[in-house]
Amino acid sequence: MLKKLILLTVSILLLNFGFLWAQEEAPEQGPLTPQSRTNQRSLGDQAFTISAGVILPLFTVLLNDNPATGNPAGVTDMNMKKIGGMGSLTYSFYLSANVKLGLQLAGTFNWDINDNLLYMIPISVKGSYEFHPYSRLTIPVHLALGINMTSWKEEFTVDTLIRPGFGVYFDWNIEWSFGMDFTYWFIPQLSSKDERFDSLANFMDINIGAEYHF
Amino acid sequence: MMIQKILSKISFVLAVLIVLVSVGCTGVGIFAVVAVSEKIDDGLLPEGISARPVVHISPDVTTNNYYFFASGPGLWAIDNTASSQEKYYHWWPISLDGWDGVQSMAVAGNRIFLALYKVSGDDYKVAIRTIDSFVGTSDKKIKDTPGYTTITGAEWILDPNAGGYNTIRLFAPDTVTDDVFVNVMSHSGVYASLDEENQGFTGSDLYTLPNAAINWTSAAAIGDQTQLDGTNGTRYVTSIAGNGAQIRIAATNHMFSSSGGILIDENGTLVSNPDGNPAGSISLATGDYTNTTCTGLTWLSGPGQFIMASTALDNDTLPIFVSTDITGNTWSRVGGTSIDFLTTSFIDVSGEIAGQSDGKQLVLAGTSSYIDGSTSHFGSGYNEIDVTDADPSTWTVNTSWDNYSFALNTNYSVSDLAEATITGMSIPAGGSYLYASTRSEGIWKIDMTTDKPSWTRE
Repeated sequence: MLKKLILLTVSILLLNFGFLWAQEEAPEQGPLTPQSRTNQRSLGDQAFTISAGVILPLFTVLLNDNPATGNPAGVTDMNMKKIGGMGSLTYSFYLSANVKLGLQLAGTFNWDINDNLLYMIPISVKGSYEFHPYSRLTIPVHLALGINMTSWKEEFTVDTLIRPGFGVYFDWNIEWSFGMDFTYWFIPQLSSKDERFDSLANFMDINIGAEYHF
Repeated sequence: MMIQKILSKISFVLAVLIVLVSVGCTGVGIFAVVAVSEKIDDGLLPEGISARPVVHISPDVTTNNYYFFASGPGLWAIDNTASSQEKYYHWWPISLDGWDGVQSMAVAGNRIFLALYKVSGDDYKVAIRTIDSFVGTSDKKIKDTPGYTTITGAEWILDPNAGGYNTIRLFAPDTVTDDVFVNVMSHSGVYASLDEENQGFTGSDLYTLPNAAINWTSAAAIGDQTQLDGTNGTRYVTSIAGNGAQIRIAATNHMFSSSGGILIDENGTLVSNPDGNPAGSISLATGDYTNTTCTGLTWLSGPGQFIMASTALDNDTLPIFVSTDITGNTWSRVGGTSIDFLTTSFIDVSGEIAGQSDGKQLVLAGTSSYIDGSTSHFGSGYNEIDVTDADPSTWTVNTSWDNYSFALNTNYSVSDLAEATITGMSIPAGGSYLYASTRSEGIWKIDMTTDKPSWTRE
């Protein structure tokens, strides 16, 4: 557990330093640079995104054989409902015309096969690179790193979370964008007291979002 | 500069969050447990039903086929000889013969003793009846009526002039005589509810009723009622157990009292304490005793000891006590108990195959919900007590279900049983199935003749 904490903290600090360096490399994208496109952003711009959608359990990788249950190590069904619900709030700011960094708070719910509710609350730092193929179309490719709090029955765990994904957004005007995000969830759950229950959980979410730029 | 400040804040907030939330981890690999968990069917009993222990009597070959349980306002039966695949294999309500509900229930010999109550307006009465036979019919639209026998004179009616009413608690600890112990509790005021068992409690009397009795005149008050009737204390009986030679009775003035609990024998005499501590107290060592309220008093035939649990805090825990001398005179505190678990029932499964694959002989301890001041604690299924070591003073309670040995963890841990208040556990007819009755979560059954069996919901 201690190693995980140190790893996460160091990762966050590295992100911090990396983007400070990026700040010096893009002076031409200042806040006073005239816009020529609806989706043209620049250093210092900020955005707030609210999203809602579904989360799809994909598969679980059991890392060890479990003689007690007869389950071998390997890929297995997640034993959850096919679709759960999800919502998120993201605050971002632009480091350059194409790069933004944000903090995302999300929440999901789903049920296991015995109708026990399973909640997940991830908190992550989300970095995005935005392609702008057209003046009113933005395609963000993003990677979120953070922690995922999971609650099920009386159990509660905190794990690392890696969420790569992409989206497609239509820029309605300078302030508002609407679109969809497709994100993969990778949750290594390696801290259980019993190593028979160490696993890698895999989800995907599909969300529609509204993003306000200011 | 602004960005640098924001990044620093994000880093700081995340680092703090990581540390804070990690502290609350329970250490269970949730996704793996869910992935390997079993699907548990909902069962056929109505949702939300609360049940008392499943019982069985065998006065004749027909009645022998049936199991019974009481659910407060109802009495239920099942034809246990029907295959679980058959349409007749389900519980159905049977007649209470005009009574409104079951206040208490005990099985002794081949009779089911029931304290049945009836409420009508301001009128209230309670009476003792027995079920001596039962024949079920295939037409479940009509409630089958068991063969009820009236215990003449065993009836208590609300008497406003006397300023109170009575409630009845039945116990069947004597496996030698099959006599039934009847605790008649007196209450002041008007009958209101069964929710508070000691509401307006003013004292009680304890009687033994011969198993074959058909008249209350056969009942005999125990020799010394003074610890119960207000003379030397105002108490009622929480539980009784017998080992064939001794009978131990736990009584208290209040369910959560840490000072009013006592142990008496079948004559009402305070149980002597070999450590020189006060008679009737629970002895932990010389000069170290407690009068905490205890319940769930049970004789464990496998290990050959009595066991019971405190309903009141003692040194910030809700301890479980086990006798160390077979007789129930000297007691030891079982290790591993905590404030999180109020234990109210026990069952000895030490001789069963289930659990032994881990090399353990077990006693299961059913838990109950309770309120500690302003904090609500929920029921948490059962805990396991490893009784493999013959020395009871070494026993400890295992409260971590991921290390349980009795049932398949991927079944038990995902079941509603694991979060339920267990009202009682029984092995009807000495069979191979253990039944766990719960509050609001119905009845659960498990086959103890197999290794790592699964619980199923009735």
